[in-house]
Amino acid sequence: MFGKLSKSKKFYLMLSAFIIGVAMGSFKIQLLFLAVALSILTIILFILKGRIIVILIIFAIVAGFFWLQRSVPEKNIENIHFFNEEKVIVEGFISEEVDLRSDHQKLAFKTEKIKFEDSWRQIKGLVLVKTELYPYYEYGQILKIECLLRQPGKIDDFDYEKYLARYNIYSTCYNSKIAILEGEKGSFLKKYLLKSKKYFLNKINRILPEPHASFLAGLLLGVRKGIPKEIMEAFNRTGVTHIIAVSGYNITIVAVALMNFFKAISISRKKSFYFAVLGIIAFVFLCGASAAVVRAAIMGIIVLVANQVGRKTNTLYILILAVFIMVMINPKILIFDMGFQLSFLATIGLIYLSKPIEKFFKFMPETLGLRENFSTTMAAILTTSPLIMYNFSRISLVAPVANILILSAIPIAMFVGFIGILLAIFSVYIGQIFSWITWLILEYIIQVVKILAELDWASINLGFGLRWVIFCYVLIFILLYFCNNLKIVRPGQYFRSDNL
Amino acid sequence: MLSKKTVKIFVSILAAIFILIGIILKEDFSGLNLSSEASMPIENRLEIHYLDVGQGDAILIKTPHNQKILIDGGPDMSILDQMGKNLSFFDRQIDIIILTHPHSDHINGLVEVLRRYDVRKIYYTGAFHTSPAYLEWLEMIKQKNVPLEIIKEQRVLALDNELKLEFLYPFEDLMNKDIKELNNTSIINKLVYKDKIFLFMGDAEKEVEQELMDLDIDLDADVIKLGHHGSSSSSTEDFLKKIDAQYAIIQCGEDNSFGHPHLSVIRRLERLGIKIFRNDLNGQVSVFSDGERIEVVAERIVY
Repeated sequence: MFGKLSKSKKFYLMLSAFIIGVAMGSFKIQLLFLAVALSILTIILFILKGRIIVILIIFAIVAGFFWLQRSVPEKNIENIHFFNEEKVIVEGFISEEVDLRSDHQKLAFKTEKIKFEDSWRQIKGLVLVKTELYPYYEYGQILKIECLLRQPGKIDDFDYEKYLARYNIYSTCYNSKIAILEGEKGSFLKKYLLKSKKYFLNKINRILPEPHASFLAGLLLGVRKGIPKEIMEAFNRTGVTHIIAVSGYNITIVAVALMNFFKAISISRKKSFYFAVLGIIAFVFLCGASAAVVRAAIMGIIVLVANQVGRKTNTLYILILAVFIMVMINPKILIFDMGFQLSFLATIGLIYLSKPIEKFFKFMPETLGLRENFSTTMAAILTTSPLIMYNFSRISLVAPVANILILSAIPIAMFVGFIGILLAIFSVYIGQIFSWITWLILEYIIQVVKILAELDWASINLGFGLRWVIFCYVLIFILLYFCNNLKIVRPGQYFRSDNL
Repeated sequence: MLSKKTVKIFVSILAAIFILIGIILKEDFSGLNLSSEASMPIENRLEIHYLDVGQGDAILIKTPHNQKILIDGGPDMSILDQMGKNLSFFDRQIDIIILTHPHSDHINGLVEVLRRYDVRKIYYTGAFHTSPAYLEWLEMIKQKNVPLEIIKEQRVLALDNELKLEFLYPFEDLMNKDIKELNNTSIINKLVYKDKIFLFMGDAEKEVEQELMDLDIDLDADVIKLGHHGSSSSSTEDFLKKIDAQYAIIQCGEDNSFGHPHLSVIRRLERLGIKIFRNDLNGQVSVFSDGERIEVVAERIVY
C-alpha cells in the first residue's frame, strides 16, 4: 500500500504521524496503552505490507508522544511550581505583554531567583501574577514579588490549569507584594513593538469613545479586552466573534475579506494578494507579534496563497508543514489552544470549502466582494462550529445573516480607522473629526449585532459531546473529499455543474 | 483606474453615511443616547447621570449649555463605556472633574478618563494618600497639564445665569494632610438650577453631617446622592429630615461585599417617604430637570 507513495508523500505522512503522537501525549494516554495501540497498529500495517515506512511512522508517533511529555517541566526544585502552596520571595521580569483588564492587571512573570533559606537560588518557570489596576506595569520590568503561590485550578467549568499550561504557566499568584527594581530585561524588538502598540492604542482612545475604541483596537491591534460584556455576548449570540476574538482566528477571515475588498475596488488580483499579505504582516507587528498571532498570521497567509495559486494538494503539504513546525515549537497548542485549533479548522474550511460553497450563493451580488466574503465565512463557520459547540455549548442561528450584513464593512472600518489614527498622530483634533466616519461604520456593525442578538432564537444552547464532534468532523472530511475530488478549479472559475 | 462600478459603490456608501448622519442629527445631536428616553424637552435641560459603575461612585452632569461635569470615576474602567453611552460620539471634552476623595472606588476610572478626554479643570481636596491609583492620577494631571484647584472653603461657581455649583465641604485646607478617615474629607457639593437643588455627598459620614447641621448650612435639596453608598455610617434621620429630599440615589454595586446599602438606611428613607433609586437594582439612574420639574429615568425598573 505504501510502496506506491512518492517520497514527499511519505515525508508528510511522517509529519502527520508526529502530530498524532503529540495529540496522544496531550490526552494523557498511558504509556502501556500507547504500547498496545502501537503494536496493534504495527500488525495492521504489516498486513498491509508497509516495511520501512511503517517503522518510521511508528517512530514518528512515539517521538511526538515524548516531545509533548518533554515539554511539561518536572516538578523539582529547579522549577518554580515546585513551590506551589508556599509563600515565596522571587525575582524576575515581566516576559509578556501586560494583560490589562477592566479592574486588574495580569502579568506573565518569568522567575529567575528565589529566596531560599536566607540565600538566593536560581530558579526558572513562569508565574501568572494578578495585581491591581495601578500602578501600570510594562513588559521587561524587573520585579521582586512576595506572595503565596498557588496551583491554577478549575473556575466553574473552565479548566484554568490546562489553559495556562499552554503558556507554560503552572503557578499563579494573587495578593502579592510587588517591588519594581532597577533595570529592564526582555527583547528589544518586542519592547519596541509593544511601545508602538500602546502609542497607537492611545491614539484610538483619544479619537473614539467606548465601546467603539475597543472595537477598533480589536480589529487593528488585536486588543480584545475592553469590549463591554453585553456587546461581547451579542457578538457571541450572532456568531461574529471571529471578527475580533479567539487569538487570531479572525486573521484568516479578515485577510480574505481584505483581499476581496481590494479586488472589489478594482485593484488587480495579484496586487490585492500582495496588499492583503502586507496587511497581515503589518497586523502582526501592530499586535506586538505574540506567538498566537504569528501562528494565525501564517495560517492566514497560507489561505491567501492557496487562493492565489489554486493548487490545493500543495497547500495541504504547506499546512501540514506549518502545523508540524508550530507543534515542534510548542506541542501544547495542539490540544489545549482553542485559538490554534479554530484558526487551523477555519483555514481548512477556507481552502477547501469556500469555492464549492460559493456555487450555492450565486444569487448574491458580487458588490464589495459580498458573495466571496459570505461563502468564505460560511466555509469557516462550517468547519469551526462543531468545536465551538463542544467548547461553548451553543450555536448561532443568525450567524449567516449577521455575517452578510457586517463582513464587508470590516475592511472599510479598518481602513478608515487606520487613516484616523495616522491623522491623529499629526493632530488629535483632525483625527477626532475624521473618526466620525469610523464611528459610524463601527456603530453600524454594533447596532446590527445588537439588534440580531435580541432575537430570542438568535442562538440556541446545544452542547456537543466529544463523540458528536468526531462524528461531525468525519462528516465534514467526507464532504471535503467529495468536493475536492471534483476537478480543482483555478481561481476565478466556478465549478461546472456536470462535475457534481 | 476606478471603474464606473467602483464609483457607484462609493457613492452609495457615502449616501448611506449621510442618511445615517441625518438620522442622528434629527434626534437633537444625542440621538443614540439614553437621555432621549426622558420626556422632558431638551432645551434648557439639566441632566445628571448616576452611572452604573459597580461598587463605586461616578456621576456625569450635563448642563443646559452643554458643560460637562464628572464627579468621581468609579472603581474600574467601566466608566469609559458609561461615558461613551451618555456623551455624543464627537464629545471629547469634560469641563470639570471633581474628585471627592482618593479612595479606589472613586478614583480608579479617572486615570483613563484623563488620558482619553480633554479635561479643563479639576477640583479636589489635596488630602494625602499614597495609593498607586492616586499617584498615577496625579502624574497624569501633570503630564496633561490640567489646571488643579483645591477646595478648602465654601465657594460658589456660577456655571451660567441660572445654574450654580456650590462646594459645601471641607472647610479647611487638607493639602498634604494625612487623615485617617478619608471618607470624611469628601467634597460635598450641590448643584442649584433655578428652584431645584441636587446634593452630592461623596462618602461623607454622620460626623460630617452633624458638622454641617451644627453650622446651620442650607441643606435643603430635592435630590440627594446618599453618602458612602448607603452605608449605615451615613444618612442619619435628622440629616435626612433637614434635607427634605424627594429622591435619594444610592450608588452601589450588585451583591457588593460591604452589604451596601444598609437596610436601616433604606427603612429610614421609606419612613420619610423619600423615593429611592439604586444603581445595583436600577442600573443607570438619570435625573432631568428644567429648573422647575424633576424627572427620573432608570435603566431598569424594579417593582
